[in-house]
Formats: sequence, structure tokens, C-alpha cells
Amino acid sequence: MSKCVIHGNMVYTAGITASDLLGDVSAQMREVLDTVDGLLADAGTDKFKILTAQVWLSDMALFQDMNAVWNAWVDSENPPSRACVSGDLYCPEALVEVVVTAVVKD
Amino acid sequence: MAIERYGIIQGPGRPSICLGLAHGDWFTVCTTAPDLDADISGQTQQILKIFDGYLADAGCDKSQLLTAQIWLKRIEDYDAVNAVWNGWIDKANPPARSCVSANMSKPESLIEIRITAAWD
Repeated sequence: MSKCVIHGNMVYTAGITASDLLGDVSAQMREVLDTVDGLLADAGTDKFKILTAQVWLSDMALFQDMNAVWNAWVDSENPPSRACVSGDLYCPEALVEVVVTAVVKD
Repeated sequence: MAIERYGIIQGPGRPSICLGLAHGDWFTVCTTAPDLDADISGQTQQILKIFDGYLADAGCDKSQLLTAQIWLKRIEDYDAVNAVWNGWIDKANPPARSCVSANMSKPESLIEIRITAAWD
């Protein structure tokens, strides 16, 4: 699969998980958002142009820790529309997965 | 093209997000119900009422829905949600919908829905 796809003025990322699955949810979320930053940079855009984010957690008990990393990363004046739900991820060690859509250019 | 955000949430202990967002001819809203004492039908009605408000703010209506993603805490609530949904939707112009089960951020949230819509 592609880690992200561009169509028209939009970029769609795949579900991004951490490569280091030994970390706690905070560490995994930081790595995921670093990866998202990198993919958006490759696509010629940045986190300020994100429209939507989908966060999956392996367990909703991880919400506050995940959210603290999110809040530190996001532009709180211009945040995306985010959904966060929990369910089984691709392996038990993966604690968080994130998909974003963003505008590439206007 | 500007990104217009609706229902920005921020503050201590709260996620920094917006509920609705419009860009170009595309619009999305995602929310759970505010009154979590309500049963599944009540929570669904609350969410759809919020959608009506944001769609009106954005100058579009439910005939222009593209997609809907429904998350249910209990998939056995499916029929009850459908009854409310079917009463709300523009039957001539229904969106492409998916419904799966998941847990929402608050344990009392029985349902969360994201819609996307377009207008000319």
C-alpha cells in the first residue's frame, strides 16, 4: 500500500502506526505524528492544512495520554475535525493508529 | 481556498479539535451526543439535530450528503439507529454509509457519526 496518496488538491494518508511498538501510547503517538509530519512535508503541505483525523486506540483507557500528545502537536486555534474510537489494531502491541486528510495546495 | 472551522473545542482536559469543517465544496461534521443520559434513539436524534444545524450554517442540506460513518458501542442498537436514521435522511439522496462497532471516548457515548457533504 501507499503511505499517502494525492488526488487533486487533497492528500490522504494510510493508517499510520508506530514502528517502535515497545513504547507506551505517548511514545507511539509522538512517532505517529512525526511520521504524519514527514508525509505531509513530502506532499508539500503541513499539519495546519489537515481537514480530518481518525484516531484508533487499542483501548479507550489510553485516551488522555494520546490526547495530551495530540494537544501539544495540533494548532489549537485551527484544529482538524477528529474522530477517536477504540478497537482491535493490526497487532496487540500497536496502541494507536492515525489517518489524516489534508489540503495540498489551494 | 480557506478552511472554515465550526465548533472549535479547546481547553484543559479537552481535545483540541473542531466538530465541523468546510473546504471548497466539501464539508464534514463528526460528533457524539452531548446529553449522554439519553438512550440510543435519543443520542442518535441529538447527533442528527447537530448535523442539521451545521449543514444549515454551511449553506447545504442533507440531500447533499456524500458519506456517513457510524460507530456503535453496541451493534445490537443497529435497528434502533436505523429507525431514527431512516426518518431523518433524504430518501431520494441517501449517502454511502458504513456502520461498525467501537468504543467512543466516553463510556456513556453509545454512538458517534461522521458525515461528509458537498455542494455546488
